[in-house]
Amino acid sequence: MPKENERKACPEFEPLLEDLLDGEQQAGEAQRLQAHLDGCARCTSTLRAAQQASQLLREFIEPAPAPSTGFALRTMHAIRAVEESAAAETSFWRPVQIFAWRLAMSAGLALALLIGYAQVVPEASEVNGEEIARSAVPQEMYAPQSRGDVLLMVSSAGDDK
Amino acid sequence: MTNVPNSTATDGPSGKAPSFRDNVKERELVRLCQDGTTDAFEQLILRHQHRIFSVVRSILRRREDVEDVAQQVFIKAFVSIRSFDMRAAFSTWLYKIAVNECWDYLRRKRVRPLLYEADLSEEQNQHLSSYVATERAPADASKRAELRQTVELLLAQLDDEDRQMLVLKEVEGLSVQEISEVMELNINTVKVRLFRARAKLVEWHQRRQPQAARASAGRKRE
Repeated sequence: MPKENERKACPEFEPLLEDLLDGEQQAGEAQRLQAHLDGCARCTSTLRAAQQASQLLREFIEPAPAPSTGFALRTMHAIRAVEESAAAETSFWRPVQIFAWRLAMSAGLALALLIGYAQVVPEASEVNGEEIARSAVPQEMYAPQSRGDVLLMVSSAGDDK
Repeated sequence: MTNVPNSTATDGPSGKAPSFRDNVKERELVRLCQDGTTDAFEQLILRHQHRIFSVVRSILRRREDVEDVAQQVFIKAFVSIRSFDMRAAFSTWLYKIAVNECWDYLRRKRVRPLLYEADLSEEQNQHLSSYVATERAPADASKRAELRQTVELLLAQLDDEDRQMLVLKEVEGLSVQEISEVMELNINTVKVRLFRARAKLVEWHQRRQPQAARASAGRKRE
């Protein structure tokens, strides 16, 4: 790549030099620039180089091709094709979109209900289910079948005390 | 159906800035497009096609690609026109799309126009020097083509933005104000960079001359 040691004009005069090349100078600025150019060889030679470059570019670089007569029409045709394919794509996916939307709504509602239920219902007892079941069922009373059974019951009741 | 304001005014290669009335019409056209009147967009294409071709050409360098990329620019602009909020001029918004589309295109094609000083032959240097000295272009078509290639090579030494600026100014005829809009740069910055870029071109050419002469002398001795 080229090194950055090119000749340079005085920085404060560069915009004015560009205006001069462009033919867009204001009267007061033109006088100030001319007075500077009379005494500054660097600005004068840079201005000359810039003029040569302008000449080269205008002479040898080809401008953009003009848009062909049908360009706007062709572009509009392409735009309509894009619009139509976008519309077709939308209509194809529409039922799927509606289904997905409903599914998402239902899932959201179910989740909200579950969270609400968990907030409202108090926490279940930590006693395990088997114990709860046993305590809930009434114990069957033992009926003595004979005289010996009665005596056994009386003696075991005495042992408990 | 909505009536589309008929306008035959296009930007034209002369590059005149649009008047206030044109701007009002343009906003009307943009609003119609945003409301779904696709036909209004054709008027916008007619107004801006020359400028968009210039901007695209200033970046791409290959004339053959300009029309395709310009078409993509207008399609993208149409697709996203609802996002245009009218805070900036429509042209500024469109130029931005054009610049981005060009760089995307170059990235997709993996084009890297890197050229080195050695790319300029001794003969090319001589032809260029003789043109610079006499400021008279050769009548011979092949010599002209060669000089054109040489100037393209010189131009390729500049960085992308400087090259784009110079082409827009000198070849496509955009004003400093328009370039500042396209490139989103301050007017003073554009002036300074344009002036420096021009000077650089000639400076590089002049620096190569003694090198080319030395290389030529070396070859003769061999």
